Amino acid sequence: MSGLQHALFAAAPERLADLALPGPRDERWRYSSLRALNARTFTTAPTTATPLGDAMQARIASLSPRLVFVDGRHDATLSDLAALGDALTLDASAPSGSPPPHWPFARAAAVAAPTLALHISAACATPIHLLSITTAAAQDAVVQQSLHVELAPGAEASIVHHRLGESDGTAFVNLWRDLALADGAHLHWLETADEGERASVVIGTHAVLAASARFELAEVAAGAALYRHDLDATLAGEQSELIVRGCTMVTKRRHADVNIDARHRAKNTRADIVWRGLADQRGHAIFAGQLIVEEGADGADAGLSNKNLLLSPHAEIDTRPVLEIYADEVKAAHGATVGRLDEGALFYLRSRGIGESEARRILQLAFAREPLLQLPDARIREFALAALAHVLPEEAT
Amino acid sequence: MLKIDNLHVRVAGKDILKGLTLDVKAGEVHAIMGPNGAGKSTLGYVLAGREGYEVTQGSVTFNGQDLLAQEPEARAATGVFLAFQYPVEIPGVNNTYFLRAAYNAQRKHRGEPELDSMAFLKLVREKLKVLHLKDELLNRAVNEGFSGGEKKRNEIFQMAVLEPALAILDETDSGLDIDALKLVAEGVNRLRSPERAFLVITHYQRLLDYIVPDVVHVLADGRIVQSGDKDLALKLEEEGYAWIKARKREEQAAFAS
Repeated sequence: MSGLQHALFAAAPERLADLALPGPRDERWRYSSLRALNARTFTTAPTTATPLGDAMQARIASLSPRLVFVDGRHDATLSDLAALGDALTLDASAPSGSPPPHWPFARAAAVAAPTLALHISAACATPIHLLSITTAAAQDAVVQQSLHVELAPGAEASIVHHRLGESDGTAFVNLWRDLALADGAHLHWLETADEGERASVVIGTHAVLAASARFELAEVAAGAALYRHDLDATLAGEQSELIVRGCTMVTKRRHADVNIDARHRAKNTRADIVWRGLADQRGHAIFAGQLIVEEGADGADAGLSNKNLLLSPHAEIDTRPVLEIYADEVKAAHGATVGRLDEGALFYLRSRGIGESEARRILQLAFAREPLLQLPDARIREFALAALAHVLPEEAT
Repeated sequence: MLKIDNLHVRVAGKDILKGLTLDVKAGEVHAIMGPNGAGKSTLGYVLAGREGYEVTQGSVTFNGQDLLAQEPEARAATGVFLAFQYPVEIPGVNNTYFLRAAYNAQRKHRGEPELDSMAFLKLVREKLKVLHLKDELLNRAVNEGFSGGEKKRNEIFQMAVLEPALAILDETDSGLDIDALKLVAEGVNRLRSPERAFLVITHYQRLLDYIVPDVVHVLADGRIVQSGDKDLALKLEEEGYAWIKARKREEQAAFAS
């Protein structure tokens, strides 16, 4: 057993006996090698509460209502959900949902971490901030979190997930979340992060949508030593909708691997995925999007677009758009491109007096924000654009 | 103000400008006319600092400084502005944001204080009004989905905001109908001043009915082959560029004998 595997499964090794981490021949992990991680030694996350620094405390206080996790464990004293009244209730003794069998990390988290369930029964007026904080005490540790989010019929919520870590943090963060949307429920989820380039993060997001439910996922992925986000969404009820708007911006040696599977199972369902990727310096951006229209899912509308900019000769971009259609009456479109920054546009900006590095930043930002500008929820859009501005900061003046 | 001396420029291994000499003083409007392929656009690009234009010989000074040694953004800050023949569409970049970034970058380069967004908005609104342009121009992405005429007017608008010392208009009249042409010319005429010079590059004389030049030059085969007053443009319009070619042949014949 590798150090990583041992630490991941430490809580219940006998229940995970059949589990193996993806190897080099696993097609789904082709561009995300675990070799460096397997060579390291990991401990399990600290079980005693770790005091937070002043900056982190201030940051937490600025976000409300909020649900706070520290090193994988729910912290009720740091959380503040008062503004939501009884639209949201928590259940700390809920069973975990079942991760897809080919998600070993999610299966480990589901077993190793206590599951916290969020029951959302009505429309929540303000976005809920979900904070996953990894502290200095979790250096070289495996931090696992298991979350179950359930939206009642017609319920509506916006969740902004902030992953916050030490700038030199080296933890392995393993997050599993299971989302269940009942008839007509709407969930907006924004995934953002402020974590160091030495961290490793694996996220499994599993969503099942009942009739007329709508799930919008937005993400700004800045990558880490290893960053992997799997989304598996099943459009199980008629007229359910999945909307994904995201961008990856990796610099230095950061790596970001986003995998999306959208399964059309019922009639007249819609998936609309737009993702943009930028890789600079020695960054590596990977995107795989799979639209699967199952037999009988007639009237499906499946769209996927992934455009990328390669900004450096040492950067790498891999993209794989896939359509699998087993139904007859289907509207489907998919496309992927990898290009370079438009030299003509760069010269145009410079000829007006804008310095080269600022001109590059403006063009990169414009490219990356395009999908985020299409987000229908104004508050989510604002948080997403702020997260992007954080990844591509303006020049210090 | 602008002194071009014996300028030779090579593009993609091909000599385009072959000894161009030009002297433009503050307050003057010079028109550069010439047939297609004469090197007109190359002149605009090489003055603005586009990559891929290799100067093999000659010099360009602007207010006494070596222009060719400077980056494009530095040239802009010292007062050089190129109105593009084909303005570039930049999706996702708001026109106002772009202009303010340019305006403040130039000011910063010159050691002048930057304008905040309120003060800048006031400035651009004034310029819009003077040029009879609509407010909606400010909220659109730079040139994205603009018609040919809108793109050219956006160039003139940028020029009005940035107030350059030397404006180079590269075939600003191409693709414009007569009304749009008049509006563009009016915009340029408003900016004429004793401190400012214009280099108006055009294929047709038509634009020069509205922007009356002090000097007209004919650029052919990479060199200025004839200079004169505004009547030269009229003569070209009447007799076409073939006249220049015929005259060149005569000259060569005379030289040979």
